Amino acid sequence: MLVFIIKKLANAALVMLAVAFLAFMIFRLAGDPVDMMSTEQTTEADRELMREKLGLNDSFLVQYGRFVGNAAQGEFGISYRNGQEVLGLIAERFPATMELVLVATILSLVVGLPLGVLTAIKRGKWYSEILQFGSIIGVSLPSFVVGILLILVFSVTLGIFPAFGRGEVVDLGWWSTGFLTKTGLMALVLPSISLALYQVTLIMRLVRAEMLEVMRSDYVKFARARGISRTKIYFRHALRNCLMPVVTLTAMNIGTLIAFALITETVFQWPGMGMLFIQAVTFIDIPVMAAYLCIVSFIFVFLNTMVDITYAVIDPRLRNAK
Amino acid sequence: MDDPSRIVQAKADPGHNCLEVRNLVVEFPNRHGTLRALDDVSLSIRPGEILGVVGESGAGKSMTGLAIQGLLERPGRIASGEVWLEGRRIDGLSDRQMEKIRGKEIGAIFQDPLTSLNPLFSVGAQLVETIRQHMPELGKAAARGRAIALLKEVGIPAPEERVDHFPHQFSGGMRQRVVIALALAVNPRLIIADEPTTALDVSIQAQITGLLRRLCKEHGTAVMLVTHDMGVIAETADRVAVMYAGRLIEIGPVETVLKSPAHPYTRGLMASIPALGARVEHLHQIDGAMPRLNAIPPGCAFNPRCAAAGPRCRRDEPALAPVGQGAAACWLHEGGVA
Repeated sequence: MLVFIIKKLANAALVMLAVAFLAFMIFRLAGDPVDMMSTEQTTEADRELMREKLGLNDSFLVQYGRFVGNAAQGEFGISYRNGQEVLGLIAERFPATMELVLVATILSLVVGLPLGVLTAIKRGKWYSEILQFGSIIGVSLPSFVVGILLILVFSVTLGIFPAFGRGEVVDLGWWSTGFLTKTGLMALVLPSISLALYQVTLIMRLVRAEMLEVMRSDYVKFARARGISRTKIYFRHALRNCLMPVVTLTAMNIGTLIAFALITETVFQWPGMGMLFIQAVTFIDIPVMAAYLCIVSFIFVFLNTMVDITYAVIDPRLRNAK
Repeated sequence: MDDPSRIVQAKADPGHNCLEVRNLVVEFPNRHGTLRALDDVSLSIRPGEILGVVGESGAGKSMTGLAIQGLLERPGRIASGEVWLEGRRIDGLSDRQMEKIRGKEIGAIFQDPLTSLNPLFSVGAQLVETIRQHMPELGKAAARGRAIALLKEVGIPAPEERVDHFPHQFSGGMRQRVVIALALAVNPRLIIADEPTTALDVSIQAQITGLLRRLCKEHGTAVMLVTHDMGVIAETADRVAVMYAGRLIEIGPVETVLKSPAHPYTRGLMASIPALGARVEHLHQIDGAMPRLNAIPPGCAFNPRCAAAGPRCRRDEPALAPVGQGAAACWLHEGGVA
């Protein structure tokens, strides 16, 4: 098991090095930074001095190594747009996106898993058919439409939930949380629902399909022949065998949600990383884009590694994988 | 561990039947009508007796086992007939009531030990689950102790260690031993073994059938051994039932049926087993194929393939009637085929 984990971590590190290389290349492709920093009056000697100071005369590998070293410590440089530390900018926005994604993911699992099991074991009942049909709508509705509809019904017409913003936040160190205030929690409701709806239907359909498959397997039939009660068969034997794809899907989705929550964030004016990224692209703010690339990739790689380790926890056959 | 009252009971009344199936009819309704998968099947098994059930694929062997366990898949259902287990009628019980019988009174062994164990749970966990399902009074430690004892009984070396291993860490033969341990977990009165050796290496097959036979004799458990392997039947069974197209066509003591079969189909089956050492140019075969369930001919279901068939065979269906020590459903033994 330990060898397995070390192997997975080594894999993850390798992928991160490759991503850092891509981020590093963005800088180089964007042209000579000295050109961007200097004016017409700068002498060739000054330019040479700047080059030396910025380490641009070092070999390619040394520069790359320095970039990786800095990135590992969270040093992504200064934003071109407003001269702030990139890390600070992201740290400011990161909690908003994380909390939104977290709530949406939990929501999608808490609702999607039981619905998937229900529609599988009660196949043919009228409520399963309605859920199954409804899930098609959920899968096909784009999240901005859902968001706007939710705002229309619950903010404009009923006035229960706020239509935009994060509400009041409480600072816990560098992390600002909306979980501790009433307005913060209220503000989370609509965006997380509109973000989660698609995931709910996806997980429900996945679990349903997997359950139907597993219920046909020999070991479920054998468990029935051993007199194990239906409830235990559904939730112990069958559901656990369905979890692998659900874990994969959920982890991939967390990554996707973080990276692409920007549509929902735009609809709800949510001050998250998605908005930051859109602004960075508009202003060709390369340090922010590079940092965003690295951080989002890191989240993906981290989640993937966690998924691999979770697999081994769920399925004993993978524990001795070479 | 053993229930002493049961052994005594079995010895005191050797004539009583553990399982009795009377005139069982299983039907599968579908759009085009109703398929009769089992037609008027009657058989019985005494405690400690092993009844082999043979026949081609689709003859209704496994179906009989599933019907007894109440595991018919929809829309299949028992249309008529009765199933009695230890003097209690069990057909028509609710699924919840059957859950208390399955595993506890009827153990099951499936064909493929590679797929009948859940890969995500240790064999111990699956044993303990079965034991505690039917003996809720047993604590976790006691159930685990019983699980280890069971593994030991089915011949798994170092059971204290193996109990925590997962199915993929066992070989096929060892897994089938685990499956047998699961079937025996709470001392059922009847075991339904559906092709228990078909998926195993020939060298392992004899071990498993030997084990099954020994355990059943020791525990006084009745066994319904479903197989198409005549060798397994010859080695293991006390009596044999031969099925054809959902019907029971011959039943009797194993020596009688194997050595002097009464039904032409059984004769054909026996003749098609190649004798060891004798090289022949052509292997014997029964011409034709078993009819599909929706195309069973009138009269005797076997008549189109039967060399001895007469007009009566194409007109009336023969019933099971005593022949020698057994019984067969053939007009040859009931007044001729004319």
